[in-house]
Amino acid sequence: MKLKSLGILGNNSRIRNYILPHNERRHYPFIDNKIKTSKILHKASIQSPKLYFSLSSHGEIKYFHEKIKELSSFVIKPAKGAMGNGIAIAKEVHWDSLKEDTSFVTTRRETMSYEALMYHISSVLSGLYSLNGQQDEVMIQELLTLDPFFDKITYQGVPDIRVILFYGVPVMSMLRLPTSMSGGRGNLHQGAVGCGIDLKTGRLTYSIQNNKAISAHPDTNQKIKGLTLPLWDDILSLSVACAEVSNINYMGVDIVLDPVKGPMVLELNARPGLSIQLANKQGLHPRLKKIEERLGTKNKTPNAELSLREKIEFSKKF
Amino acid sequence: MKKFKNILILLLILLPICTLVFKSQFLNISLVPKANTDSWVLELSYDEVKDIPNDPLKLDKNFKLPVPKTSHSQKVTYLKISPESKENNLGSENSSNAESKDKVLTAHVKTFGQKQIQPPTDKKLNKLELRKFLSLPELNEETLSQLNTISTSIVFETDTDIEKLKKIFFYISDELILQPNNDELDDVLTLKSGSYLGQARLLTALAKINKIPARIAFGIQILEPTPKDTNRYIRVLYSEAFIEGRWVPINPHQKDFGVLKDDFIVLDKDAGEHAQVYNDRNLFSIYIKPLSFRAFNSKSFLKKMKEKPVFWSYISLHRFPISIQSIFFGLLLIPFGTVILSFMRVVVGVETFGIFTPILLTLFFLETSLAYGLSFFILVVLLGLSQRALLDKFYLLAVPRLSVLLALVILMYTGYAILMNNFGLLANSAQDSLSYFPIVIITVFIERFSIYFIEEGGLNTLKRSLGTFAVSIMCYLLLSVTSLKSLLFNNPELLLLAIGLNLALGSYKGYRLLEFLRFSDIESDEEAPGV
Repeated sequence: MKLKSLGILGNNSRIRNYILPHNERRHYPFIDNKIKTSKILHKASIQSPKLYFSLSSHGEIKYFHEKIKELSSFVIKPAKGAMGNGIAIAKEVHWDSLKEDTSFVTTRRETMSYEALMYHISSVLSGLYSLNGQQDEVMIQELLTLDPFFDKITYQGVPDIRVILFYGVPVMSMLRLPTSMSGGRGNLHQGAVGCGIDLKTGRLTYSIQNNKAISAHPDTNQKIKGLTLPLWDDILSLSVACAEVSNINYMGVDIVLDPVKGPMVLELNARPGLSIQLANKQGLHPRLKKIEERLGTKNKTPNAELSLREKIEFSKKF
Repeated sequence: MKKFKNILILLLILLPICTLVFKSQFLNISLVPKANTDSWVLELSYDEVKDIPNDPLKLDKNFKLPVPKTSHSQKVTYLKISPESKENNLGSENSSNAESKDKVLTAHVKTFGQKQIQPPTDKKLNKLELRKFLSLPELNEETLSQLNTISTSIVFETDTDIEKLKKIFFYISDELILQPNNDELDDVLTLKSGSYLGQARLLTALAKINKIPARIAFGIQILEPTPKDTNRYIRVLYSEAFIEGRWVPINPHQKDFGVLKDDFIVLDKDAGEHAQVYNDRNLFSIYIKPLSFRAFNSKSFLKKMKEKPVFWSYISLHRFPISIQSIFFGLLLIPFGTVILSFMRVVVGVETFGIFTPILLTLFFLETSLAYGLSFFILVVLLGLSQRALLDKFYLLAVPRLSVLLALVILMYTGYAILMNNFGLLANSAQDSLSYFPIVIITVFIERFSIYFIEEGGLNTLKRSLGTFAVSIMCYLLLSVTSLKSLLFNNPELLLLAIGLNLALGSYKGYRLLEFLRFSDIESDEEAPGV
């Protein structure tokens, strides 16, 4: 069992040993519904993209035109969506006082008509992209800009940094770089690149695409290994802060670097994936065990409380 | 809690198994009702060594094993003769030769039973055949005159061939008693009794005297197998007469004229001189055993159940009316399909559309048939996909769009039925497969599939589809095993086993098999070149 000796966490073990015993079901809505997440984060003064407004019924669609008057760009997201499905990005808004003449430019430089966008919104509201097909809400969020650091190692979309935390201690982290194959999206299973991050320094280590090791970004051919993420300590503390307000013990935090505002929390995830282990060439299991030993986690509450500083210190020893 | 769960799992797995053992060993209830067999494994062998050379009566140098043939009453699905080299060795016939062992013929025969007499044809026998089937065997004067006397006493010159035959048939079936080992014609005539062979010889001879071509045929009448002995049959030598262009079987002892009994395997339609060997248990041996069955005999099972302790017969599902029985017959096995589904997802790691879509697909296939269901399903899904892509352009709200899709699926369904009907195919397989149930499954699948296709791209969709189909086909194969269904139907407590197995699978923490593939690259230290 090669995987076992490496401490690789399998899907069954992830669910049975970590998600089910450590995460409380009643806290899920705050993570699964991104509008709720956004509100909580704002309340706790955690940097995250601004929520312009949200729609919860088809009737509100007719006011949409009025509401975007002042906006030059925005992102449309299903509140209960998963894996980045159902997201539409308006990079430019060509506003016209007549509804029909308003149009949008997406990240792929395609023009989207007003009608098409409204159709998309109504599909989202009908629950097309929600986790279990239930009625959904639409959030209209601030569009973040790309930090120049990523210019040469991404394709179209905005890269994000995934940090997995266990009882607030960062366990493992990776950078996700969109590619042409992933269609500008950050999902690893669609062909985005995942890069392991050294928790101590923020230095990028190994890279994978489609579960296979690579050395350079497939679209830009830029070497990734050895680059160091800017503001790494800020990113770590931001992720720990998220964990502290969320009440979810085993979770993932997705963070985006904005050139002006710095690290911003994009979303939280109660069921973070396992490919992060491939990107780091490390298993999650030994690290999670260490945290369990240190904190003495029983019944979903740790015996020992660590301060934010201590948590980061602990994680840097991995 | 963990301990409790493990005990529960153990209990749920052991309890049904124990009741099965208890029922079968102590209450003597068979686990499945007796099957109505229709397919048989047949083994014929000829022991040449026992063919005593100095007994001219028994010596039969030209004997070959009879080869059962496919006909309107039976179908031969498998045939093997061993050892094969036997034929080549005939030139240097040597009984001490090690190779001249028993020759064995193995065949699988399915019996249909003859429901009606074959219709007349225009076929005529050629001269050679006529001579063969009309020539009487060598008989002494006395026997021949006896035969003529009988013939003239029962048959009128003016009778048609069929009337003559019938009279001969009734004469033999009424006047003669079955007497084993009484094979020779003169003995039959003097004693007024005969074996199957003796009676067949008499009937054939009488037919030939009346210028009706006739021959002796050989087959076996299969008897109901008992649990201890499945090899139960009677060797039957009977006659066949050629009337109105077809050979008509006549078996006076079993009162069969024109049709033979249901569980009858015809081995040789023209036994001729080999008849004597066929009749000899020592020289020519036959072994049969059931191969497959068409259905279970629920009625006799219930009868037996009622003799058992009250509790067991009280909970027997055989008490339901037949229509309700048939529901449970399929229903009870479904949880075991979900065991397969759980196993494939949790242990193997196959990805599927939705959680229960594979099971719904399985039900669809069960309601139609695998080949038909699968091809129809793929066709409709592809058509539906293109229609949905078109609908996407209209910017419709979700529920009306799904409704349009549903109507289109029904329309395709109708078109398909019309097509089948016009080709005259509706009567057979399609009739059972047209039902309400699958339509919604198809519609929902199209919707889910097309969203997934747009969101996740072709490759991921294909992977997931293959996973879904693979799991549903596996479940289908399991759920279509009739004997399993019957086992569940007779012992519904086995459902606890399915729960136990699922609890065990739900507690599995190990790696999924496909994860070994997924993480296989983790150790490779140097990266492959980019791009």
